[in-house]
Amino acid sequence: MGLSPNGAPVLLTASNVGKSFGSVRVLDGVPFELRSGEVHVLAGENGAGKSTLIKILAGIYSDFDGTVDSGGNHVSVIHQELSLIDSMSAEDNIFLGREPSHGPWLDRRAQRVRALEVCETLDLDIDLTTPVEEFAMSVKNRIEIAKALSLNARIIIMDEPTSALTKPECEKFFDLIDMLKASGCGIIYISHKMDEIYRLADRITVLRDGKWIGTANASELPRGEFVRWMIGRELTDQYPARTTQAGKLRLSIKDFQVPNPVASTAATRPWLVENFTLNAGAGEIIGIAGLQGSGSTELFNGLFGAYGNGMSGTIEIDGESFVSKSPRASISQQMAYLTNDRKDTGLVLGMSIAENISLSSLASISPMGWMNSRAEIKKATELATSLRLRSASVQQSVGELSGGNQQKVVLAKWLETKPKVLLLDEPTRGVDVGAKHEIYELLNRLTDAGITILMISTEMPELLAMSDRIMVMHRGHVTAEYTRAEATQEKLLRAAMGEVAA
Amino acid sequence: MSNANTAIAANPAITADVRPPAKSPLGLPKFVHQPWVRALLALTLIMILGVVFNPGGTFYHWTTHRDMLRQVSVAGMLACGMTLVIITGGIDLAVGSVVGFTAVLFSLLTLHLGWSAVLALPVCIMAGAACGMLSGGLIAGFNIQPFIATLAMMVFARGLAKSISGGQKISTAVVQADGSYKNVDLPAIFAAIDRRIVGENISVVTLILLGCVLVCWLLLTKLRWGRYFYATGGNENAARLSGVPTKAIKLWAYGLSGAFSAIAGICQAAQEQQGDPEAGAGYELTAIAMVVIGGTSLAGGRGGIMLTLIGAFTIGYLEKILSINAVGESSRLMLTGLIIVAAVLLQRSKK
Repeated sequence: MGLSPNGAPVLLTASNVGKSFGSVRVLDGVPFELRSGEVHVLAGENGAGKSTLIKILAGIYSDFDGTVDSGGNHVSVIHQELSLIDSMSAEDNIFLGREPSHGPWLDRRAQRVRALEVCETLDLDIDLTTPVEEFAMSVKNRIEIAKALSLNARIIIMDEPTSALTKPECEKFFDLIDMLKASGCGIIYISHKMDEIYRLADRITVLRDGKWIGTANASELPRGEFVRWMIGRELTDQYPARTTQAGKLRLSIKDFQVPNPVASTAATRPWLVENFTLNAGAGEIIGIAGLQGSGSTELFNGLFGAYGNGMSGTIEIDGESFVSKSPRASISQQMAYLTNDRKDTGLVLGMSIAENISLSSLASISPMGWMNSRAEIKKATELATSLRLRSASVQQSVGELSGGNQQKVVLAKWLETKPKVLLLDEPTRGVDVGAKHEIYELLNRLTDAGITILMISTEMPELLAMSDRIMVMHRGHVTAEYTRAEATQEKLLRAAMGEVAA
Repeated sequence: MSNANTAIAANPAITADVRPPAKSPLGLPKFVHQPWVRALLALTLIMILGVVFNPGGTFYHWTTHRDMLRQVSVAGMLACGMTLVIITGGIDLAVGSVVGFTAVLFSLLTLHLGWSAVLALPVCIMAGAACGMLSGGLIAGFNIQPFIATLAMMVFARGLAKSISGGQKISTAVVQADGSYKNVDLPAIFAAIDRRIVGENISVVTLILLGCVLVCWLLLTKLRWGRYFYATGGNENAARLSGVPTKAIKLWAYGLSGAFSAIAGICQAAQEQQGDPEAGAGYELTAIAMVVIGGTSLAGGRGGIMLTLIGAFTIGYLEKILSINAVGESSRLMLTGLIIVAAVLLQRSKK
């Protein structure tokens, strides 16, 4: 294989790549090149054809048009959802499918030696015999990379690898990528986070509707131009304007505590969330910032009754006492909760859009327990239209939708329950730029209607733009509270890392 | 290709967001991928076998089909409850044992204790439901895996059947205090369940099966709770957080499975004119096979009662055809195993 204009060897060249599913052309005439020692970001909205291109480059699809030449280099893919087997040890995972062995006998000693070598290069200091389920997401990520390195992969494809990482973990991860670059690997990187893209990318290729829009050096592609490439129009502002408008007191939480379900030992904390107190008006958005282990998600689970009863403290909604005992009870007390993992805890993927939308409010369309299917379709269609859901019909399976549209379905489900208080945990995770903007506008409309929103987000700019007030949590405590005007990324991060604000 | 695809291609806004539909390997129209079409395909193939291997034209006789319906009825009732349980993402291994337990219980109450059917029927059905709810309670309340909880119930209910019967078949010959036997008359309910009506053309047990199917169909497609069954099996976490009472749903699924097993047990007793503590052994496997051949996913969340009915007919015809061709027991079992695999592969050929 040849050298690129700047002298780096080319690891992979693809030209005129196309693929159709049935009569639908999902990829058409796409060129792609990866050089040694570069991070090449592949960008585009959901459905632009990124996943299809990756599958072709990685050899998962073999029937496609055009040519791909990886010069015999091994291609490893690191997915958003990691492909580790939770119950197996770290080293067994690293060598899964190609265990060092003599005939049928495993050579555990050789496996250990090789695993240690790989982990050392990754600065990964863990007990290799521990099942991977006991590790944090950031460690699992590294184990996955160790697996790729142990294959001597020179081409590594990373599909939103940081989506589950906290900010400091991301920084360490970026250092690791720099190291991989230095060792001559080429990395194809997919991300929805603007800052991350510009932190890492040497070159950027943008796809839109299955077509190649352009490839440019990151330093020569201004952000505005980049966004225009992706969406074909310019977003005047990534976030819609928001005016604070706290109405009368709607949600009052006093000394709320979530007990730790794990039997308390010296090492465990007895409470996951301690003394959480908040008064929020109608139409306010309260942002909640925190790093991994801050207790923010546990706070939402506790408030919503996902842990059952056994919480302590008092909650009032509109002056009426609210009891956290089960999700069902919380819904009837007009609280709704969008979880941070729509595939695992938000949607029933085998069901249709309409069935998912109506799931939490079936009583309203089933008098005496008998389903009124026509009313169900009608209501779902209305909501889908008002949320600008892009789908063939509401009877389409929800599993076929893109991330942004799936998130709209979850939101529609909760809006159907007519909530007064809406808990949102990472409402725009895995959602493309265009749909993100629509979700922000929706939040503004909801607060205009008087709904009080509590929102957890690890994307600081989003939190700063959309929250009226921001509370920062660290290990179960609130360490700071800022108004939107006061808050800065730096202040939030310091409080999230445990510095108590003066 | 199909209309749906052209509609998608014509609308670029949708193209960007809809994943490409699975390509049909044979270029068949899209409705072929409907589960019920696939289930009917398996049934049709079996019926073609019946037409091909048809000694003396037996397969063309109405009585062959009538007898198939009758023979499939008891296991079909179990398959009804099994469908409900499997849709919630579980499995009920105890149904066969509950058949044995309730067959014995019903015979004891009506033959030995002289209870009237009006009383004995609801008591037996409640006893079956109680067995199911006990399994369901262990599963929902203590998070025991359905396989384990119902395996325990399977062993326990069989023991219960042997315990209340003293290990003997409960028949019209009732042991007296002095050790002699006295024959009691068979109560009318036994004959009523076992007879055929409409000029000997339709078995009452077949009507009972269809009644069970109807109840399940209404529950699964027309009632709010049916939707909850699917949601619980489709994604239990999401369902619970959406306010679906998942624990209650599981309790009910196993409870209903127990109740259907009891109805099957009563029919079994009526057909045998006695309560055999060994009755129903192995029926759980037939019931699971009926559900799976119909196309209801063992993973939960997908499927339906009509699919199970088609699955029950498929198994019923298979056994009937093997028996009218005088295929020996050993070959029959091996062939049944092969055909179950073939039917399930046919269901799956989409992927």
